[in-house]
Amino acid sequence: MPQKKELGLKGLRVGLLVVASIVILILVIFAVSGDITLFSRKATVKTYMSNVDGLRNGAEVRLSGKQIGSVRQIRFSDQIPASADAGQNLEIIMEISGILDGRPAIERIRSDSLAVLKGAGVLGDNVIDITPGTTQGEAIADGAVIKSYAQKSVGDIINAAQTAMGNLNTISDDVKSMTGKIRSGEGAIGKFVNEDAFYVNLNRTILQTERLLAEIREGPGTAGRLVSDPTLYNQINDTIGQLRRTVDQINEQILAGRGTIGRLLKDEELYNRANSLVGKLDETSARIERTMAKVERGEGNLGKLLNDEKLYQDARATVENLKAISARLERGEGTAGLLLKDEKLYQNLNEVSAEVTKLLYDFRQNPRKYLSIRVSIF
Amino acid sequence: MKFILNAIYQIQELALLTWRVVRGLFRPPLYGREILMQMDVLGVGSLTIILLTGFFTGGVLALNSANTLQKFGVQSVTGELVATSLIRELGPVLTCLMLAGRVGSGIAAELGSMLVSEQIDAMRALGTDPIKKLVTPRIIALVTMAPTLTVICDLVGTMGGMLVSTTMLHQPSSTYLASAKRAVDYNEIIGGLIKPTVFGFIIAIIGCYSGLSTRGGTVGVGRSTTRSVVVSSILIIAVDFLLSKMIISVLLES
Repeated sequence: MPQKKELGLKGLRVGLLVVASIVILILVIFAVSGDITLFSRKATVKTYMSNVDGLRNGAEVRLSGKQIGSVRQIRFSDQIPASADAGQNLEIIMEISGILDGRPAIERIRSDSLAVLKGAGVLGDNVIDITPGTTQGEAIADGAVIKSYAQKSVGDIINAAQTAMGNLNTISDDVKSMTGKIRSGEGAIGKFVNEDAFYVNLNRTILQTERLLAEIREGPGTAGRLVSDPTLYNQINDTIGQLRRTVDQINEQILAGRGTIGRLLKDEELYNRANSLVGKLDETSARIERTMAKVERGEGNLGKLLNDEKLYQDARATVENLKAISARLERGEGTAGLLLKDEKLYQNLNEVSAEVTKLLYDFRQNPRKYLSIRVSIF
Repeated sequence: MKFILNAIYQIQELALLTWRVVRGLFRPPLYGREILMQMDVLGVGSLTIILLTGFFTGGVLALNSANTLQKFGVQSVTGELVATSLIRELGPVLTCLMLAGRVGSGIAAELGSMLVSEQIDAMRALGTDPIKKLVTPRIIALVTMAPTLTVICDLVGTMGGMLVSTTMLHQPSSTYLASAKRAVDYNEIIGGLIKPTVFGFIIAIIGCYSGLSTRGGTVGVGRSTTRSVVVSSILIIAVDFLLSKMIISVLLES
């Protein structure tokens, strides 16, 4: 039962213990749900953007879509930008858990990570989604700045969609006019669709083709026989079979060493003969060589002819004598010389021949003058 | 400083009373008839207000939420919303606030009057432990009856919501029931039963403590009654927050 006591810390030990345990219980409940982090470090990452699109302090920060922290502060940077599109003058400071699933967050968020501003849903608030860093990027320090990328907001998408819708409208107008023309039979496609000439032609062609095929299949012509008559095939088949047999036989003959080619390949006689011929040729050339050596040494007639000086001297003297004779002939010395040079003999002869001619002429005219041989016995 | 020391003193006394109750559970006699009687008085006696509270809460929830849901074109999830709200939050809290008002005040007034009229001293003189005889049965009765009444409150509330949806919002009852069924799973139900168990204990222990710590005659009894209702209501709402946090993170997110 409650009794009046003097209030003092000594008498309140149980009360203090209960209060302490309740406080610990409350803290544990919040720690389990992750709203307060006991005994854990926080890391800070910064980024710059030109427009945060209504992002608030405390908005979620996600890594690959998983919540890892929150936006601590959004503020304008100190400098006023030089132009409207200089951009990225808003500094966003993000607070993230120091450890992510057993590894420091800084190992996952690297210099090639991008902070992307996203809508959490069509109606939801904006969040920052950080893309995971890869080994191509470098590790960053606590408080480092990463690059940002503003994803298109719903408004931007709607604006883009309006342009696209305008284009679609134009296209649908075009299509409409095209289909109208087709329906009214204008142009090639219109005629194709509306007029039956093409159909009739096509139909006729198909019918003719069909008939042709039927004729080929059943008809007596060349093509028909080619398709239906097996004779050609059989003959070709036989020919090829014979060819194969011939080749087999040739092959056999060759292998057995019969026939010209077979003997050529198998028989050694030809080789032996050729071999002996080459041997004889070899001998002959050796003899020629020896003969030539004799000629060089001046042995025998041929050798003397080539090597003996005396024959040359005799020939030379003969030539000189001949030269002297011809000189005398030239000068008209001696009988031969006069014969060549003196015209008297020619003239005498000429006169003689003229006289003979006259005589002969006369003889022919008057043969009796010359042939009146009187034989008178009585 | 004196205020803080006094607060810690009250907590200490409360903790000691709790300890005596817990210790008394394992020592005979247990006064089974007394427990049953308290269950009847505290539990069954409160059935009417719980039924009315639950029914109208469910109805007003359907009425309000259907209007908002209609804006988004998802009126068909009215049942889910009503059932979830009732099972998770409104059922336990409203039931226990009602119990705190009706039962907690009654316990404090009853025990306070007994203390003031020295019946408790007489009981102790006759060799009966007043804690085992008076406090333990009330605590057991409320710890068991609060979840029971909460279940009834949830059911009646969902029915109230259905009635409003079908008659006033012109939804087919099958849509409402199918949607409400989706809201109910084991974790929701377990979470919805942990809360009233804790709240029932809070109502009983605060009522008993207030009654047994009455000072200053019949005027003191009134003060104790008021204090019992105020403290237990505030504790219910504060503990509800912590329990919700714990249940969501442990049961519903896993």
